Amino acid sequence: MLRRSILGTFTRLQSTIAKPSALGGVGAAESSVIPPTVPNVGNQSQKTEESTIPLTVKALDYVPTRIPVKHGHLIADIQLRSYETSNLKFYIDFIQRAAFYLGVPMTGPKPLPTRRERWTVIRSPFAQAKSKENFERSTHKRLLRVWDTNSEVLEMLLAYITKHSVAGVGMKCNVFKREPLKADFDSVDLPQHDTDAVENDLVNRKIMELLNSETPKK
Amino acid sequence: MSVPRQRLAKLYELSAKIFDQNFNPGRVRTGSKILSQRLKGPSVANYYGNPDFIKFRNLKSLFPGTEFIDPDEQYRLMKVEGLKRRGKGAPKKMKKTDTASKGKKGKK
Amino acid sequence: MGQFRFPIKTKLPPGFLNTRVIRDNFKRQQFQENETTTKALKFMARNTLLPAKLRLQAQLKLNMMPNYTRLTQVKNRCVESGSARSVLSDFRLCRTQFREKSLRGELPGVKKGVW
Repeated sequence: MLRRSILGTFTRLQSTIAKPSALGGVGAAESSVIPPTVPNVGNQSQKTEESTIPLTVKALDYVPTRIPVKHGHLIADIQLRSYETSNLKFYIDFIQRAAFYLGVPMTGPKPLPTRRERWTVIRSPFAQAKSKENFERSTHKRLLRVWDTNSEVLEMLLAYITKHSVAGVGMKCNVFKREPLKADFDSVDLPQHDTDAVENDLVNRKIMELLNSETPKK
Repeated sequence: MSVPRQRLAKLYELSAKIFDQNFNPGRVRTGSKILSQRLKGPSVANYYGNPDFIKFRNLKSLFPGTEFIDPDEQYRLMKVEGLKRRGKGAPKKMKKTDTASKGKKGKK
Repeated sequence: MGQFRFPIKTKLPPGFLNTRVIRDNFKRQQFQENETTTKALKFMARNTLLPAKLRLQAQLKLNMMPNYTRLTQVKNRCVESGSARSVLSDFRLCRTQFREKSLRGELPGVKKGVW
């Protein structure tokens, strides 16, 4: 199962890598395939040297490209939070690019309200309580939304993102799944009371133990 | 359009049954408040951190053959040496016979 | 450790150690250990559907539990210095330690507040 999913996403990755060339035109179909490490042949002019830079690398100079949302099915909310905006920005840029090459439509980053915590403490370790010092910490939050995506691809994206996560940035991901609604209410089983969980609850077990031990005393 | 009370009560009872909630129209004290609270124990007990956290003195037995340097201990030794060089170090231990005699003197 | 001064032996916490820190840690561990029992007894004592005698018994048993099993006996102390006063629960540090650490930049994100 796992192997299959990885293979599937890998082929998808390859196909998406080829995409920018198709978008960019200008005969970049071949240049995008050539890795930057290919050594130049001796007497080459500068023009050809420039063209050997793959389009995917060139794209780094520009705002990350997006894939437009087609169906409007919300798949996941990725919430990122950090104390600094710089690493947050960088990470979001990275995520957006990764999403583009995986063929994932993504919107955002939508800034969420910044949480600002403040503390005022007395400066001195003893007495002189009139002189105080203020400290603060602001938590910046951003929201990225994933649309119209297969759950396997989403998993792949999340795994890739977490693997290359940036220090000091926290991530929370809410994944939404759709299920068909059954209109036929008569045949639907009512949710059964989870007796196992109730019996396994530590407090409940203790209560039963105490009750059983005390009833014979009466 | 008014709905009879009994019917509403029935509805609430059913909905409570479906969503696994407590239905308690008479507001009898059943102590469910206590049961529904989460257990605080783990968070309270972990306040000072994991007691099994590796300490410096455990490192040598865990990784035999490798040498570890405790910067605090190094600093202390350096200071002691400096004091000794200036003649301000701790006094040497007395011999056993001397300590006994000194103790007697002190008592007098 | 030869003799342990508390009725039940507990592991010492890492970091700063102090008689009061050890005592508080002991109470915390004991609270966790006895939490299910206290909760069960409390539930039985408060439940009006149970017979009165049983409720009374439960309440008496609850009262008989030693003080170190109660959460009210636990006090938040500074992890770095063991001080019990002016402890910021966000960092588990007392005000001086918090100030020093944040000025040294050891608390991520905490800066001098200017507003």
